Amino acid sequence: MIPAARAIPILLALAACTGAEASAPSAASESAAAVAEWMTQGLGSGALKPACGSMSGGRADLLAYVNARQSLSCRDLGYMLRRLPRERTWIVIPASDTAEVCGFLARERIRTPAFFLERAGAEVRESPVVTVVGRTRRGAPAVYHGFQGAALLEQVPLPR
Amino acid sequence: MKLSSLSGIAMCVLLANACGVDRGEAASAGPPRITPVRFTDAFTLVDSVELQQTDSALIVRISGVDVDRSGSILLGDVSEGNVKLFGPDGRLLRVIGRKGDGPREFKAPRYPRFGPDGLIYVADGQDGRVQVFDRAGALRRFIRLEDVGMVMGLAVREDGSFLVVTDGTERSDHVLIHFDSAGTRLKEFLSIKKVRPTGAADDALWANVRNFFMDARGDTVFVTSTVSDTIWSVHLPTGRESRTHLAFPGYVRPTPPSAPPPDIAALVKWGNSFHLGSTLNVDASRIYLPYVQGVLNYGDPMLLVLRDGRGGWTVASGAPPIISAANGRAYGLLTPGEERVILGAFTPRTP
Repeated sequence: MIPAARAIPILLALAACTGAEASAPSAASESAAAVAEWMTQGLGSGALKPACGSMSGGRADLLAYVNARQSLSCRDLGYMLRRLPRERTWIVIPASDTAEVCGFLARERIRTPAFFLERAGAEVRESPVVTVVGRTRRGAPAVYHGFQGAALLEQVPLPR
Repeated sequence: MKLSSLSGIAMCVLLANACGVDRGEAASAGPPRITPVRFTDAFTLVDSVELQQTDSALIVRISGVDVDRSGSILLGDVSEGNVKLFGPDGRLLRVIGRKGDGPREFKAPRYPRFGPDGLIYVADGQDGRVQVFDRAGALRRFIRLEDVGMVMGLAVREDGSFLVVTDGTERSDHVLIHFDSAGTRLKEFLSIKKVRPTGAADDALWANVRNFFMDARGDTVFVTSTVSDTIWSVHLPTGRESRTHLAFPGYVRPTPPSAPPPDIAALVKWGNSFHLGSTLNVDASRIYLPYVQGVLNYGDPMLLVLRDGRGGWTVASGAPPIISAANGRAYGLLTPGEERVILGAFTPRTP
């Protein structure tokens, strides 16, 4: 059940985008960590299933998380995803949100391969935090997160 | 939005305060009769143009279109955070700005407008800023508007002053603000910050789906809201405010969900179950008010309310998304939801 008080802002979509986010930074960090763990476990277990986008061979250097809540909000997600290298990025979606997110990706002209993954907990499904799993410039695993995709994009070292 | 004046209109309202206006200051009278028509019976497609895109200059989410007298086209893209200038033939001439919050950058460039001085004015919805560019894309002026809330519409006047419509601020319920060319506040109008659907109870949810739209012609400014089938007008020299309740066939008034939606899909379905005002365009003698069923507005079903040059009102079903009006034409998106962007120019069959 989506409480009306929280549901309606999700619908805001194009009407108005405040860009504000009430969550504290520490909560955002915890939420991103939960998302990152869920995605990397899914990747490791081979549980990712094709959802939409242009599938191609190869591996992903970046995992970008998108849920329905984020795709219906104003988080510059489309802007960020269009700029992540398509051939080195996989988008990961909670299975329950596949239809909404794939619709969003199509509207935003994003052809990056997108996969759905089962067993997302509530914290993952409801996460408002834009999260990308990648590596630091020195190759160590890293989780990047924020509330606006455009700002987050500046932090992520893009693969060469 | 084009400057226009609409003289001699008796702006009226059926029910005082029926639109949820906190203080009904606007003049009111009876509602106009609105005749249902089919869009194809009421308009003729007279021209179309495909807007050029490149790999580095995609059109993703159109947030405003303006057309000048020569037919040049200005398009705001809220997803890409830029404004694109096209020639009358659709050739991409310039990409202005990029995502960001500095000069020459936009968070949400929703309202690109050709000014009467030939310059390009862009308001940033999230940031209370107006930036002015020449056609080569050089930044000519950067105006920061103090205490305006979210900017939801922009019109530039012949004297260089401009009007913005906002969601109101902490200190004011007024949604229409007139600034001089330097950004100094001149006057505020329309105390309708808390407008809600006609007859609906007040509810916090309306604040979340409420947006205001504005267009102007000469000394008269028109304002409407997503959640209301009402159009307000302000005559700037006198400050006289009026409103017209548009009771038109087919309109589905926004209503709260009967129960909290169980999931996102149900939430979207509810959001698609009623009409929202989607923009407002005023041409030389006509007012175009498209109402869309579906909050995402990617080619959703639309009803187009039109006030014609003789003061008659019609509502056209089957209309494409009308996103601009200029030069006696209404400009509609012929390819909603598709990657190709083709604008169609329509002329009304009646004067």
